[in-house]
Amino acid sequence: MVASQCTGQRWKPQLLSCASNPIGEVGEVIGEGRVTREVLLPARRPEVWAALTQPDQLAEWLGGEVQFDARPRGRLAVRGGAGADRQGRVIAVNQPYRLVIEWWEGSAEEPPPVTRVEFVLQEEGGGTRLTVSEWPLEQTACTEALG
Amino acid sequence: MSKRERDVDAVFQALADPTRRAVMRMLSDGPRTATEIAERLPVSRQAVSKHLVALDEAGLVRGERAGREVRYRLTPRPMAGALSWMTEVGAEWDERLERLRRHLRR
Repeated sequence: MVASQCTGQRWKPQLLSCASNPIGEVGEVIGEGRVTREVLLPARRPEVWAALTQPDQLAEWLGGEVQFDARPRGRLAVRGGAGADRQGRVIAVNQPYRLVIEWWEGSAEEPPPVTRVEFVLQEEGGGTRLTVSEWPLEQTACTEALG
Repeated sequence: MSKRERDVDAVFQALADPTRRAVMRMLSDGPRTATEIAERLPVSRQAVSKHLVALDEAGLVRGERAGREVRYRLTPRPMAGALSWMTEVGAEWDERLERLRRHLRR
């Protein structure tokens, strides 16, 4: 289920290839590390962008009380929704195409950020295709460090 | 970060590397020494040892002394935590995106 939803850069199996190896397959899914969802939304791209960046609209679908400053290094705070309270900040913003934030559970201002979330908006048939990916942040740095 | 999150994070970091994933695949056929693993991968024995340490720290393999060598076997249980994290995060996004779709339809 998760595997079919994952996209992005895949490992080219030049080292060993064994498609029927379940440990290997699960390892590939986890190694990819990205959870990805796509949805076709019934609204033009600027409207979807507004729903992703305006605090009152974010509150409608994220739940709870939302503060958000959709500028580079702008802060995000989500409180009192159905899920956990969250803090976050903007990493990249390219209106109305792409938004990247990192966020973490809890109310601390500067804990080690846990995950990064990327929103990509594409126009499609009068609506907007939104692709959301979330992945643990430390992954890339660690791979580089260990070679 | 909670202990669970740290454990899950360690598994993600360990499996982010293609060589370590290849080592996991190989060990799923049975325990092997670092030398045996290195014979079948295009990397040095030292590199394999370094990767085995990373996998051991994430709880994914365990070394057992066999004569002068250490034989590694797979302990894949921590992978379940990482998979369930991915499943939970995916389910959260399914719910949020369904609410977003309804919000935009109004």
